Amino acid sequence: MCKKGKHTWKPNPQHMGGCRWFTKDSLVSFSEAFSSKPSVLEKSLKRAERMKEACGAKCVLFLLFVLTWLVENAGHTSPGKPVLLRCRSPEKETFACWWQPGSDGGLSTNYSLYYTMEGSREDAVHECPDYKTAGLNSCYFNKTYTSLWITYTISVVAQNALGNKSSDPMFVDVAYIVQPHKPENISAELRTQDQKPYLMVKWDPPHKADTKSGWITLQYEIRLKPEKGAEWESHYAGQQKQFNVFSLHPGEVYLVQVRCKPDHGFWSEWSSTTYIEIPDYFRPRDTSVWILIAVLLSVCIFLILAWTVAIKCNRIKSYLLPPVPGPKIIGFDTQLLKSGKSEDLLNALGCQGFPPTSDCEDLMVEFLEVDDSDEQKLVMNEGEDDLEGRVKSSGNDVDKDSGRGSCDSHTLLLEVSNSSTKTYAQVGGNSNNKGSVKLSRKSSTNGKLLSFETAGEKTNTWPTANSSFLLARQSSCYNISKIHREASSLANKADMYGNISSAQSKSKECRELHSTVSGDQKTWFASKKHIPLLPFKSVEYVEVQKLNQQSMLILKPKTEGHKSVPPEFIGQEYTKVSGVVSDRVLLLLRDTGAQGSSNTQEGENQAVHPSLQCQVGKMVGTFPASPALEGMQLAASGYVDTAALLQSF
Amino acid sequence: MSEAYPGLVLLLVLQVCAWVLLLWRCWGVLGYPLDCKDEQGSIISCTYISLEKLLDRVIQHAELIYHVSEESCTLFEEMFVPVSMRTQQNRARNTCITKAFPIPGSKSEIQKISDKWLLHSVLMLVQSWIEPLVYLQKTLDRYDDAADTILNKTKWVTNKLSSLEQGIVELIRKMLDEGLLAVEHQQTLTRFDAQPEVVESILRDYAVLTCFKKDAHKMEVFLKLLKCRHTDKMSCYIS
Repeated sequence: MCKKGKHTWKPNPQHMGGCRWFTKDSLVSFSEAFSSKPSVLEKSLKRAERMKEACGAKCVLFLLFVLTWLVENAGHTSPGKPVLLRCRSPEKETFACWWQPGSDGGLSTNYSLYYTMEGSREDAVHECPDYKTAGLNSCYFNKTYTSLWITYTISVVAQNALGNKSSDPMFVDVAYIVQPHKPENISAELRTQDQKPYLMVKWDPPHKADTKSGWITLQYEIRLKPEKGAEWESHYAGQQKQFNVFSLHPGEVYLVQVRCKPDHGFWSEWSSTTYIEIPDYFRPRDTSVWILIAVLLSVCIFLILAWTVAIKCNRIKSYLLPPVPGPKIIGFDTQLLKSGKSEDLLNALGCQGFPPTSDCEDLMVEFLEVDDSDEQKLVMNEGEDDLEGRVKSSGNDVDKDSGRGSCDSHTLLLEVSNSSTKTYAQVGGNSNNKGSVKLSRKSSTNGKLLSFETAGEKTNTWPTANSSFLLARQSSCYNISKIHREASSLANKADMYGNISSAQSKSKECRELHSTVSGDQKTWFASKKHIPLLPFKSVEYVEVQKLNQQSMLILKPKTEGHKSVPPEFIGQEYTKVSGVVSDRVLLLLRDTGAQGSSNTQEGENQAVHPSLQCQVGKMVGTFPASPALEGMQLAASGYVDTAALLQSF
Repeated sequence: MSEAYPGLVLLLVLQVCAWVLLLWRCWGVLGYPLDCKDEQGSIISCTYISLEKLLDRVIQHAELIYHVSEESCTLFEEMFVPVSMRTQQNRARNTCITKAFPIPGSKSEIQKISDKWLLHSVLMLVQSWIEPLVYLQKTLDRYDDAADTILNKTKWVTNKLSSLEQGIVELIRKMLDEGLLAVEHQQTLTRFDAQPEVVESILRDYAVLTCFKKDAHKMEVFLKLLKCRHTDKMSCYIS
């Protein structure tokens, strides 16, 4: 028995002088072969010496014999230490181990594999059941010897005549050393999908691996490369047994390989190569190519169009956006307007001699009555009589004059001065006047009568005139407003423009006056007493300058010889005659630039016609005659100028 | 502010409604048992799960558990076990806890085991490991922070093991028509000292991890066999 340390040795029958010991998990061979050799030598030498001493030749021969024996032994050594390479199980049911032998020491060496199993008795050392099945230097454990989930302790011992050597032990659990065989029956098939080819690769698991019962679960990996390519393209296929490969190059030969691996284990080797050739095929153009072509074409067309447009810019412009024609009247030349020859213009318009010509002026002059005496007097109550007288006289005259020609209008109540060329219309009111101001103006205009009246306590009214009553408040304003009113209240289609000088600043007041004065005679009557009389400032004179061709009564403020002409009468203004009341009263519009100033609609059946009718020489339009107006003769007031309007221009 | 109150209340109500609607769809995911179909095909709220589905789930559990335990073992070995001690007698010296009940190690033998024994074996394995894993968590706490991943994995595995146990119990109930009571987990680890040596502690933990890995593999294999038998009995025995 050998004892070394605390381990118990077993004597090694094959090895003299050496011990090896087994422990539960290790096999260590402890050899003392080398240590024993020197002792033999020493002994033999000693013996030789003794033999020498004892007998000469015999001893030498014996020595020689012993030496040769020793030399022979010295040329061989015990085997080198083998190395266990690996143990593998292909299907988790059997396994095999391989080792690498060490040097054999010149002697024939054999190897044996020993193992112990965990859980079994500690000294139950087993030897390999099968050295042949797995090849040289291998040990194969078949199903009966394989137990899962048990750790094997395996070691290999090399043995020759001189000794043995044991390898380092290896601990093996069969469940973790699974390395399956290669997959089998690999087939690669070319298929097309949507005119695109792809490769369908199919295979079988290694026949020994029991994947059907679930004993072992394999995962696969496929790789392929073109024949002339350098690198492999790998794809992981999971647990399925087929795989589709896309994006292949046509006209090439591909190499396909598959390998597998269990859930926890080692990859198998790559299977044998399968060759497959991808035929050439016409790749249908992708839609992207078409899109590209379309885009290029459109870009070219766009460029051409742009170039064309740039060249023919103006022509295109004129074609697409024709110039807007200006307003044009046939036969009418705008140059005429610019030149200022109104006669030509009007001739072109077709108005022949519409505006009364200057000879009317003379006519006008003739028939005007002048009232000198009261020009500057503001009529008060006492003036009434005078006025009445005047009116009468004028009225008589007017009566006489009625029915005359166009220029024979004496319905224009104007106070005409002695001057033959001028007629003055006294528009004014006494500042102290209680509000009664009368303006009577007469002129032989074309049927327009401008009547001014005074309104005061006295009922010097026009009994007939609807709105012919002027209420004198402020001098100029009032009068002008009167004129306005009357002009506006008259329903007339033919307007005449009267030139009234007015104080624009008093327009507001005039409007107020407008509004306050009702066209109704009665109301006027009624209210007249309550009309506050405003002081008058001055007397204003408006002179009718002429009657121009357009039947405009051109009035202008009388600035000569009158002291009381208010300075605000500057310039001339044109006032439109808004209407004629029963051909006798010329109602002038206050020209405030808007037609709307003619807002007095006292007459219920009087319409203001702002347009100028180019009917020269003829009074166009009917005047809705109020019954009162017709009877407007010399009323008691005496201010009526009942001269009939000239019926025609 | 008082005028804003009705608006705020309305906003709150709307939000609650929105959340309810949102979560309604996730109701099942949040923990409500999944929709199952009974034999008639109508979907009912789940006390029923088909056998195939149950088996699949159980197998998934087992696979995952094995995978994680393998990772833990490898990590532990790299971190704490010196190279010289990795392949030594500790590996063989350990007495895995489940050695007490022998489980055949060869395929042929295992295939001879009936469904009943397979299931019971698996259940026994599962139940016997819950406690040691809990203990392992405690011991792993003693290590430094490097063991955090291992600790997390161990915790995860413990949870999965519990659900696996439930699955196995259900399987047993379905396949074998047996009712099982909840088994009390035995206290088997009281033999460990409170303050072991570091080296011994490491080795012991390493042993625990390796043993568990082995047993997890066993569970996985058994369950897969069971599944095969359930789906196609004939081909399962051809080997």
